[in-house]
Amino acid sequence: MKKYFIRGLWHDHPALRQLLGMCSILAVTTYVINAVFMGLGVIFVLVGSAFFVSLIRKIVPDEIRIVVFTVIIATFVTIVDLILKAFFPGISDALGPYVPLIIVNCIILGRCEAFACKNPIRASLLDALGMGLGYTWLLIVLAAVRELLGYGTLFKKPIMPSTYNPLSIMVASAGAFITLGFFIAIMNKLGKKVT
Amino acid sequence: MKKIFKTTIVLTTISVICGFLLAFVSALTEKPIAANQHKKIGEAISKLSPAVKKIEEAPLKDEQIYKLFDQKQSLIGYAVVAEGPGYQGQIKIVAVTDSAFATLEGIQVIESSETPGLGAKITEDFFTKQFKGTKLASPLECTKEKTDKGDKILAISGATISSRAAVNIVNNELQKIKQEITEIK
Repeated sequence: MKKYFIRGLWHDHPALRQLLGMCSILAVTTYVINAVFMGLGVIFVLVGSAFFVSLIRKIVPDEIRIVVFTVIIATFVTIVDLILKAFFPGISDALGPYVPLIIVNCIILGRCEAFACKNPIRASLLDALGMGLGYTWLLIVLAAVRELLGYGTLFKKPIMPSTYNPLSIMVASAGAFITLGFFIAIMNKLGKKVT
Repeated sequence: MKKIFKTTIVLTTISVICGFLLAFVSALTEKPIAANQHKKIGEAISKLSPAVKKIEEAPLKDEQIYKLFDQKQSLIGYAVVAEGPGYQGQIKIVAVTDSAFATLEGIQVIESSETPGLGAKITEDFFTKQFKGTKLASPLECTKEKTDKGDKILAISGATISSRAAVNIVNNELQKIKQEITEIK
């Protein structure tokens, strides 16, 4: 059972290994605080949809499974979106369209299709939680690097000395590609030793 | 034939359950969301025009404007929420005018997702303060060169599209409302 949880964190990391959910990773990692909330949102949607998909896996006919997954995922995402808008308006503004776009985040549909619809509830929940946490730690680490270099801050608090001239490119799209590229390269290097 | 029934029933049931769930959450969050939106507009107005003590909604034919009153309950201006496309996504701007709807008191960008470091500068004071005191008789113009003639808004270098978008959004909304506002005066 434990292996279902662990693998999403490292060996089978959804972003660094499976290269899923790239666009949200590139887009929301400008501030650590955004990354934290985006990660929490994705974990909630992943776990919620994995639970329901696993629960109804035996009654859903194969032909309509993707439609059913999408309906379930969309429901959870809309709930997250409404809750953020109502109780965390600042975060909701910062994440903008990327919250509703969790619906098409391929990590979630990918885990429903590859795992939750074929496995019992407990295994699916552990798998979803592991994948969600794996995605979240990467978001936070990437955001920390980019925020520190691009704005000179962490959690919007100034960290770098006042003489530091922020590298705007790090918080623009190009910086996202560069940072993520470095992480995937490191993962490939380390991964060779593991396998 | 049997398969069609099964797929229909399963999909319908799931959709109905999800629909109920969403209706429940939506009912729960409706009020706080509206309150947040109001608060944001209110904050922008009081920053642009600190004398405002009371804000009243005034629906026009197609648009929604806000009447602004001071301590003595006299009308000191109008506020307008203008929205339109920027370089990336929507830009939402609150504009405050004087009571004659002839001069702009200022603008504040309350929602935008322009490029950080370039287009995002439209939210900063050095850009928005250019709108203060401009006349509404004719649409504002966005230029790339400094001039003293007329009401011109100097575009931010490297962010001409975002600057132009902000000017156009303000123009469109204010010119539209200028025509309608005579009805409620």
